[in-house]
Amino acid sequence: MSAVSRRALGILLAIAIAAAAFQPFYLRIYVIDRVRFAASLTELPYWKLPGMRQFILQVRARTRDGDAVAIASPLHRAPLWQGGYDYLFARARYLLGGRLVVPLVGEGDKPQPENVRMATHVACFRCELTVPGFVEIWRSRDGVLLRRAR
Amino acid sequence: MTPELLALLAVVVTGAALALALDRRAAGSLVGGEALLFGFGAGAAVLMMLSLLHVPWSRSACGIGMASIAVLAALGLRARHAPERKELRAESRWPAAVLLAIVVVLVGGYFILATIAPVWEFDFIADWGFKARAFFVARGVDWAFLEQPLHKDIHTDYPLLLPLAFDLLSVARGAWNDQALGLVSVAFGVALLLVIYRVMLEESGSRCTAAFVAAAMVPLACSPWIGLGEGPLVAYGTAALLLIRRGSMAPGAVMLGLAASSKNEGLTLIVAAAAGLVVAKRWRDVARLWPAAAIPLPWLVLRHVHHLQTDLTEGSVVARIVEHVSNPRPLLEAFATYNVGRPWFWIALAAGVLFTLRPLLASERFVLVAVAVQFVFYIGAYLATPHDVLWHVRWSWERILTHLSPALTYVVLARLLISNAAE
Repeated sequence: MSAVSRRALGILLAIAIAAAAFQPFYLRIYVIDRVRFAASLTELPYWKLPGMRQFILQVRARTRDGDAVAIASPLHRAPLWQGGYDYLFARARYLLGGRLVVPLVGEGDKPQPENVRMATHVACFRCELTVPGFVEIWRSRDGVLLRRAR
Repeated sequence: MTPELLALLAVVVTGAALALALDRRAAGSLVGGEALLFGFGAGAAVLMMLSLLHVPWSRSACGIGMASIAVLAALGLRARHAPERKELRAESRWPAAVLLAIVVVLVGGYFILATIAPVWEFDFIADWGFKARAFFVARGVDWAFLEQPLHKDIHTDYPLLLPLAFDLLSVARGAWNDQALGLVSVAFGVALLLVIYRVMLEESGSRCTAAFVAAAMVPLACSPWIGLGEGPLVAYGTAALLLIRRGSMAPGAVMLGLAASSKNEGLTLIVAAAAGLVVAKRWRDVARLWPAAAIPLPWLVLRHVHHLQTDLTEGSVVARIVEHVSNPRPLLEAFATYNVGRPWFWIALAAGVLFTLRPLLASERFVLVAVAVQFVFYIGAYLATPHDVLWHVRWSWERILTHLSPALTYVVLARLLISNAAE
């Protein structure tokens, strides 16, 4: 192969690498409906449990840093991405940053009611609950929030 | 986003002083890239030091800490070498200008994506961002939080540079604003592109070639996993390999140390880089990697003191490796099943490797061996995994390959565009 054709082929291969690596979305983002896209990304981590994000944000607004919030729900244990209790718990932990988030369901769906002892609050998503020593302080269509009676 | 941008400015100023002190060959955009990379390292170190001294994080405490580092670095400025640059080729400036405009547009798109919404990646929510948020609330690294048994699943053993980078921006704002935290990913991507542009400019002597390589590597430098450890690891790791490759040992070794402070994979990259130097017969340079080992050491000690376990080393590692080696089928099936990213990219890169095999083997042994050894470490992690191997491969395979692709792509492009031009 001559030096010229070798050089031309080298440049073509370099262009092929660049073209194959190209990420078109970094251009397309200029022309898409960004308001709608932003809204969908905001909900994306929580979409498998509709209402969850708003419910937990409301719980956050009614609790303080240092509180311990137990998460109750009729959801079953399932891999993190399947929308079960783990999905709820992992995401609630982030949204409630600054509070200790306490699980009430363990391995194999085994209830862990003893964990309530650690909690200052119980957030019950998609359920209603009465817990001795706790009083209801807020309710929405997605659940209730209980606080340890003072 | 003004407070976060001001925090980035403080990062750049501190980092620039460090870049000029550590890298006597730094010039042009390399100073900017190194400034961002060293600056984030300095910021994270300040927050860690404040925590260890029980000083609550505040704008003034962080500002004083970073200013002190900048002043110390300025005092340590040594006589600088004239930047080693080939005589630039006589060529029209327009192609380079157009290519750089493409870089700016693509990075602008990445910036919009990264900051359009609160960071949405699950690993940010479950790990990187979760830790950063807890530390921000505590105004310090919260050891009780890391030691809490309920937090065993959040990789408490991971190094803290990235969460602390998020905290740096949050301290500047005085509030947690997770929509702005994508800026950190953008900053790391930009930093790597600045390094790539200058290193290629000095190597090729062509603005056009340097701009082309920078444009080609935007998608590799700008990690699609916003808010995750991939961005900093790729930026520090690739910058380290490129700097060490050209003989800039001090800044390269510091970059390696910062890679190890970003993700555990950075620790194995130190070993991989040392192996690359040995094979390239750069024996003396192996000892000059000492900052790479020294920088992550305090975290490793703290991790041990606070009993923060690494899941890969839980239980019997040997038994798991033996089991996976004796029955490799699930692992091989997982590799065959799960996504490696853009297949056409890997095909084109493989073609580039084959086309430049001889010059690659002759002059790129350091990078090739470092990448290969790092890859072997990744396979080793899959063999030692305590998790279901299918699950582990599914959720990490594509991401870890992006750790290796930028350095490999750079050397292949260099050999395609420079070696052939020289011939």
